[in-house]
Order: sequence, then C-alpha cells, then structure tokens
Amino acid sequence: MSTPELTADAVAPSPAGRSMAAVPLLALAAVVMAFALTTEGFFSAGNTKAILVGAAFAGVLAVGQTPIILGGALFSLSIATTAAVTAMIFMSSLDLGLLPAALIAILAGVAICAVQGLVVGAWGANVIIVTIAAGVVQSGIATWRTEGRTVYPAGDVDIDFLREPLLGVPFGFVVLAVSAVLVHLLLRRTRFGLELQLLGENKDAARLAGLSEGKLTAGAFAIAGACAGLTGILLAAFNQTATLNIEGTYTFDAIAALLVGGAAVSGGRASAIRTALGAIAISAITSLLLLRGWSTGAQLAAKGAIVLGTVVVLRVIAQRRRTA
Amino acid sequence: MSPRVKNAIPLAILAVMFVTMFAWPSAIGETVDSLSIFNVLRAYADYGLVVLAVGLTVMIGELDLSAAGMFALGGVIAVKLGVDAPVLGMLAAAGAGLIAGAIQGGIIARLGMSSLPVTLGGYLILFGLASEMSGTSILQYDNPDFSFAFDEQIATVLSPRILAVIAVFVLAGLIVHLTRIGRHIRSVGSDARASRAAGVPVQTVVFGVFAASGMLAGLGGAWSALAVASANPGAGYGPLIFAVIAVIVGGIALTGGSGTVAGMAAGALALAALNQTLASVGAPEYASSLVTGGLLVAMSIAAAPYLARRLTAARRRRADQEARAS
Repeated sequence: MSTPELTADAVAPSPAGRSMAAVPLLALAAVVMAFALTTEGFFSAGNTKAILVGAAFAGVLAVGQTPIILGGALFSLSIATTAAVTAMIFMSSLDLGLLPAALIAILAGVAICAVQGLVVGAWGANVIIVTIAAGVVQSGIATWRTEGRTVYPAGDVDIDFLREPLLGVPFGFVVLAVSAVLVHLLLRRTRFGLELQLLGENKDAARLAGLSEGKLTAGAFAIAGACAGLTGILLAAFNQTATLNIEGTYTFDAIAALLVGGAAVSGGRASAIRTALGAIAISAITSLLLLRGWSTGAQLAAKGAIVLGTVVVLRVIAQRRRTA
Repeated sequence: MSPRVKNAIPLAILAVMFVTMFAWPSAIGETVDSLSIFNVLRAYADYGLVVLAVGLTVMIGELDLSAAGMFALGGVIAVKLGVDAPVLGMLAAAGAGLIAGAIQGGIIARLGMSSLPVTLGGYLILFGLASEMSGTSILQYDNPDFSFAFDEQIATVLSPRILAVIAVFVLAGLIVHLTRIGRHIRSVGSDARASRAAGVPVQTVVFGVFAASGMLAGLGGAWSALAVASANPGAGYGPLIFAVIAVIVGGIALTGGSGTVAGMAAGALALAALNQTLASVGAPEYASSLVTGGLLVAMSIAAAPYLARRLTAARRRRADQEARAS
C-alpha cells in the first residue's frame, strides 16, 4: 500500500474555519479593552510588563499544548505540575552549569510527557485521566525526593539574566515569541505537523493512511514536555527557588489560552501563534481582575466562564455554518 | 468474559482490599479493629455520592469533571446556609448542584458537545466560587452539635450519615437497574445513534444524568462538610480522582454502556479500604499520593480500549497458531 501524498493544501483549514477561529480572541480583546479603559493603572508601563511576564509562563505551556489539541487529544491537566517538577530538576542540577541544567530540565519534561502521550495515543487511554494521574505521581515523587523542602539553586551559577529584560522585552516573553514561531512552523511546514492535523481532523482517515497514532501523539506530548521544561526554567529563575506551589493556576490559564486562541476541542484546528495571542489576552484579564481586587477564586471562576463561553460560542458558530 | 464473572471482579478486589487492610498492619504489629471499618465506611460516605455522580456520567460514555468543583461548593454552601437548619443547607447544596448540572447537561445535550471541555469550564467556575465564598481558607461550621449527631457511631460501625449514603445508593440502584430510565442510560452509553433510532430520548437522558450528577456531587459535598463541621475547598481534584478510580475498579467501562451501582459501591469501598490500610501502616502522605496516582495510571491503562483490542487480537493469533500446530 502506498502512503497517500500529504500536501499542505489537502489538510489546510478552510479560510472560513480560520476566520471563525479568531472570533473568541477578538471578542475577548474587545472586552479587555472596554474594561481596561475604565481600570486605573492598567496601561502603566509596569503593568504592561507584568502582563507580558505573566503571559510567558502560561503562554509557553499553551504553545506546547497546541500540537496535542491539534492531534485531537485535547490537553494535559497537569502540564504546570510538570513545569514545577522540571523547575526543581533545573535548580538542583545547576551545579553542572547553566546549559547542562537547562538541557536536563527540558529532556525531563520531554520524557515525562512523551510517556503519557504514548499511553494515550497507542492504547487509547483517556487523556484527562492519564494526565491527572501523572500529575499526582509527579507531585508524589517530587515531595518524596525533596522531602517537601524548597529547592534552592545548586552551585553559584548566575541565572538572574533569565528574568532580566532582553532589549527591553521581558526574557520570558522572548521565549514565548520564539517558541510560538517554532511550533507554528513545525505544525504547518513539516510532515509531522500535517500528519498530526490529519489525525485530529479524521482519525479513521489517518489510520487508513497508515499513520501511527501512538508515535504522533507521543511526539505532540514531547513538544508539550519540552515547553513545560522551558517554562520550568523561567519559573525557577523568576521565583529564585522551586517548589510544587509555583505551578499556580498555569495549567488552567494555558488551557484557556489554547481555547481562546480558537483551537477546536475535537482536533484538526489549532495555531501556535493564535495560542500565544490567547495567552496574552488571558494574562491581560488576570491583571485586570487583580487590579480590580478579585480573589484567586473569583479569577478562576472568570477563567472557567471564558473556557465554557469559548467552546460553546465556537460550537454554535460551527453548527450555524453547517446548516446555512 | 461472561457478565457474571465481570460483575464479580469488583467484589473480588473489594475482598482482597479488606483482607489486606487487616493482614498488613497486623503483620507489622499495628492494631486493626472495628474503628478501621468505621473509618472505611466514613470515607465511603465522604466520596460515595461523587462516585455515583461520576459513575452515572461514565455510564453514558461521558465524564463529569465538574463533580469535584460541585463537591467543594456543596460543602461551602451547606456550612454557610445550614447553621440553624442543616436540612436547608443540604437542600441548598443539592439544588445548586442540580442547577449547575442541568446547565452543563443542557449545553452538552443540545449542542452535542464532548463533556470534557464543558465540565472543565464548569469545574473552574464551581471551584472558583467555592474558594471565593470561603475566602480561600477552611470554613468552620457553627453547629457542631449537629455534626456530632450526624456522624455519631451507631451499631459500632455505622452512623446516620453512612446510612443516608447507603440509602441513596439503594435508591440509585433501583432506578438504574429496575426502571426504564436505567435501560435508557445504558443504551445511550453503548450507542447513542442507535438509541436515537430506537426512540430513546437521548438528549433528555444526557441532560438528566448531568443534572443528577451535579445534585449528587453537591449533596455529597454538603454531607461530608457537615460531618466534619468544616468545608475545605482546597481539595482540588481529590474527590474526582477517588471517584474515577472507584468507578473503573467498579467495572464501569469508560466507553460507556456498562456498569452497576453495586460495582460503584464496591469500587468506593475497596479504595477506602486501601486508604485506611495506608493510614494504619503509617505511610507518609507522598506514599499514598504515589499509590493513588499509580493506581489511576494503571486503571486508565487497563480501561484503554485499543489495549484490550490488541490483547484480544494477540490471543486470537496465538490460539490460531496453536490450533494449526496441533
């Protein structure tokens, strides 16, 4: 059996699909602008910087999840736990030098996530349950190895530059921009990306074409793991210490960013660039709610409403299109 | 596997867990007595209704992630509103759950959406509301007399609360196994399209199951919070993790269409016995989270549909080869 030729044209999203995907992003941007104009301090230089820094953590995680949702495997519900764990690994291996420590952290993230992707893709295990369980196991192991203590940088390597601005832009934001462009190119310009998109659009067709669901999903998760490792390094540098608590609500922020970026929950449509923009929007919302004195709980509820609203609106638009 | 064998597996696991609960601590010189059984039943009462909530949604081939959020919110509502009249607090929690479940169920049924993104949004909203209402800290209940009476030991290992949870399970069992509603639930879970063709009101069933799930989770949260006289919204996924393990151990396929209420009860009791064993032998907290997480990984792999298909195919190939060889 010859493998059918995969071309960009064959699986590229229709222009209509692409314009639809921008709806939640535009709607959210409008809401943010309306609120921002009436909230004091939102447009200050300090707050803009805070928004970009905040966008980096959830954003890099969300960019990493883009391949997963594109391939139809939804998202990981413990990706920020992996980031916290890789932050600990990064800190405790800094005595080997900055680059080796960074490499170890990223590879650890890749390994942790790729295994989950393989179980999900090859055996059809439920992605939500596998990733929640993997999160519990990771925090269990981390608590065991660190005996519940805070991890401080090993050795005296200078990692402060990781939280200094680079040419006036927060370093984390540079990482977000670069990773978004790289993942975007990977998904749109490589065979792996096109195969992943076919898998997300039509599982049966992908199987008939002889694509390996296990390998593709493991690959998608591996990218998410690499991004979680990068986020872990950024979080470690930002906090100057590493604990499990530094994961915050970044798992949910990343999922909200992914969905606001117009990724289809059923797979087949997602863009790393739009996801990164979604992360900036979510970070702006977080900052708005903070400035208005909302509690963490109320912020979480607002993000839940954004998640729910986005998936519902996209679904309604899609159904209208089909019947029209 | 015959259905009878399949239904016996959860009971066998439960028996093994109970034997372990007595044997392991005794072997290292710890005492296990009727208090351990009371603790197991209390843990079953804590999470039993969430198990039922999640189990019912799994039976129709969905998964209600918001159950953990509603559990937290139900506890906060009952503790806040049930000071003078505890029953009012319970009703308010169950009512809030019913509404939250009905909204999500309505969205899922009407728009034909996967329950995962919808109930993840629901989880964040409900969990966020619970944190907001409690001020992100543990909320004390100002009627300790009721808490004491509600969970007071009767007949050595029971309490009014445990009996109430058992009663809900019996009621759910009667509905699921003896009425048309139960047949509809299983039929939607095994094949929604065929059910629709056969005249089953699929949308109503999906809507009803999610409404029931929300109500059960809210009531479960209320009862657990009232029993310990405090609501702790910080448990996160905890109740959900317990419920999913119990449901899979209870023999309910994640793909839907199968399962019994007795299986859910057996799964919940087995997991409660495991937790009690870990507590009796003095396992540190990370060890029990490793065991829980590892168990959940193992269960999700065991429940993975392709894996079962691959193993069956491999077994058939081997049988064919043996038949040819002989």
